[in-house]
Amino acid sequence: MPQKYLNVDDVATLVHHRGTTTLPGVPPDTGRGRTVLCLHDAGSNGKQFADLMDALATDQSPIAYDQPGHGRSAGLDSLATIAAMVDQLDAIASGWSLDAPVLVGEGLGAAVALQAATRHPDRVAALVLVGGAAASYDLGSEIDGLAAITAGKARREFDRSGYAPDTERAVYQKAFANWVTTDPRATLGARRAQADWSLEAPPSVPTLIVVGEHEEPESVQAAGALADRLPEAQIRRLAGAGRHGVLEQPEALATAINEFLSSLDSEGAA
Amino acid sequence: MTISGTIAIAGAYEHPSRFSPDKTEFQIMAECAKGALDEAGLTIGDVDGLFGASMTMGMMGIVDLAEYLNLKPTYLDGTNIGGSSFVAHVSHAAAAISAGMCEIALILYGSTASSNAVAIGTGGRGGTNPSESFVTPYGMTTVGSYALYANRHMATYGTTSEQLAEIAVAMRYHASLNPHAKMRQPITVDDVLSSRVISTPLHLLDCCIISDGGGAVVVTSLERARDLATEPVVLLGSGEAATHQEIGSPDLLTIAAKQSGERAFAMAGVTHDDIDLAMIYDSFTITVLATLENLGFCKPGEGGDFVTDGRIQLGGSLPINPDGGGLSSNHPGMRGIFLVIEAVKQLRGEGGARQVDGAELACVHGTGGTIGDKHSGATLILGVGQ
Repeated sequence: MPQKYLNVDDVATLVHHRGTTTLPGVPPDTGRGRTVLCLHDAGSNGKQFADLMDALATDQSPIAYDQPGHGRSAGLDSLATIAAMVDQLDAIASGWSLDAPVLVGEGLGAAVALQAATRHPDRVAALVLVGGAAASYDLGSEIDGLAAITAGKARREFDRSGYAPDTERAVYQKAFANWVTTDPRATLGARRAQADWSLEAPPSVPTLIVVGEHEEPESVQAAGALADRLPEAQIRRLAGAGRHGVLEQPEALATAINEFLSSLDSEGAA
Repeated sequence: MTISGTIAIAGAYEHPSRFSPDKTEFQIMAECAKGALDEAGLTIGDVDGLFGASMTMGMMGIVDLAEYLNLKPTYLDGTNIGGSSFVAHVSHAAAAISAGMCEIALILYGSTASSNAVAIGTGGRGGTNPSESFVTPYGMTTVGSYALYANRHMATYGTTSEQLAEIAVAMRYHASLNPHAKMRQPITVDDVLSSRVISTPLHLLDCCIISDGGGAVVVTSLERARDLATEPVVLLGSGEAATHQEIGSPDLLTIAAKQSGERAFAMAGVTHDDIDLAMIYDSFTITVLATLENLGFCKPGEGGDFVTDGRIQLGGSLPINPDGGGLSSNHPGMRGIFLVIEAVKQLRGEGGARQVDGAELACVHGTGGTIGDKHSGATLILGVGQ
């Protein structure tokens, strides 16, 4: 799994990609299909997409990165706003001349993807939103819990909610490994940024909203409400998945993304 | 023959990062070396004495470091006595320079403890020394040992958790003035007391943070330092000690600072009242209290009262760790080098918002290992250059 550091605004940012390893300063190989830029959730990191990227890598050029304060990128705190996260995305995309990538966003990452498409729809080919479809439901209790943890008043505990019944232990182990590498202080900052954000101008960009078969009702409801607001959105159910389809069903999700992108190609050809 | 007044610190640099997952320990050390040498107006080619330690440098570590820096020093010292190592390195360098074994000594430290997720205080202990067989199998941790010491202090002298919390509050206030500190949000005594207990009676906020980081110090003769770019900070006194009483021995509350401090003050010929600020290793709040008593700033049992009423905060009679210390600024595992660096910055008047007014004399004390158990102590008395 090739990784490399990219300096973005003086923050050493870890980038995960597929294909051949490239020298420092040289962009990852994006020669296969479309460039698919994966944006992780608060408290997660780019490694969350490892299995999905493996599955996508045959037909596409997937890239993911760790936000500041997350995973193995430098920085103590999260970026404070979704706008700043889009600035970071812009810096990576323009620095490496990533021409109109497809943005795959999970949770907070979905909010970043939507905001990026709103800011410059011509520079985003399509959106794929997973993991709660920008989690537009209440984040207050999670934020309160994180605030207690960062003040030393509560223990940090891994959240096993939102997974499909009978989820294999290996999936939880991967989720735990991704979760534990991020300081709750950064997670708190990222969640606050997400809570402060709202989608004011729905972008006209082809959008696939992926909803897990076992996703919580409020999350499904949020996905539906979001689809109603987006002019070019479609919803697809992911069998055998809860809210964490990226980890639970990476191959099926990759198939869904590939089919979605193929449909865009055929529309373009027509 | 004494080294007092003949040796100076000519360069000091603290790495600004607190989390550097993209760097190695040696990379951090090299960046620090450049920072300290640059400010002194020196180059790496001027260095002929290399001193260093880290949590992962093994038997040949100092040679590996020389290779990484492409140095062929005439004097090598990889002494590792825990977090106090770099305080001790200053006096080792002074001895070597005085003996003509080297002229420009570079002391280095680097660590990626945070990005490597090292459990510094709560992880199990290891080691193959015979004495470990009486401690390690019973699950002793670093924080556990300091907590036992704190319990003993409370039982003997009536010291309270509130008094220990005052130390954490003062360090956090100082960190709020340090733009590079990892934890800058001010806290209260209640915040400390309501944070979760790690090992009774020590709460989370009684414990140092874990960060990445590193630092460098350049030591040379005062004569040579006068020709360099920075204002020399003069070494006036130094002392070292090792205490190895093992848990349960009778003299639990006497720590290495007593021996090293007496020697350092005697060499410097100054009194405690002369000291303008103290840089004291603060792995835990109790470490500061124990060190103050053993260095002689107050009598045994008086530490609890000594640290209250703002005495150790900026503006108080003995400001401690104006950088925020290990409790709030940075603690990559072995913090001694930052004690020296901050003392140097303060004595040069470069403390900025956290400057101790009129700082002319500083006491620096590093603790390595665990008090209440096997540990080292190293004390320096530093003064402004003449």
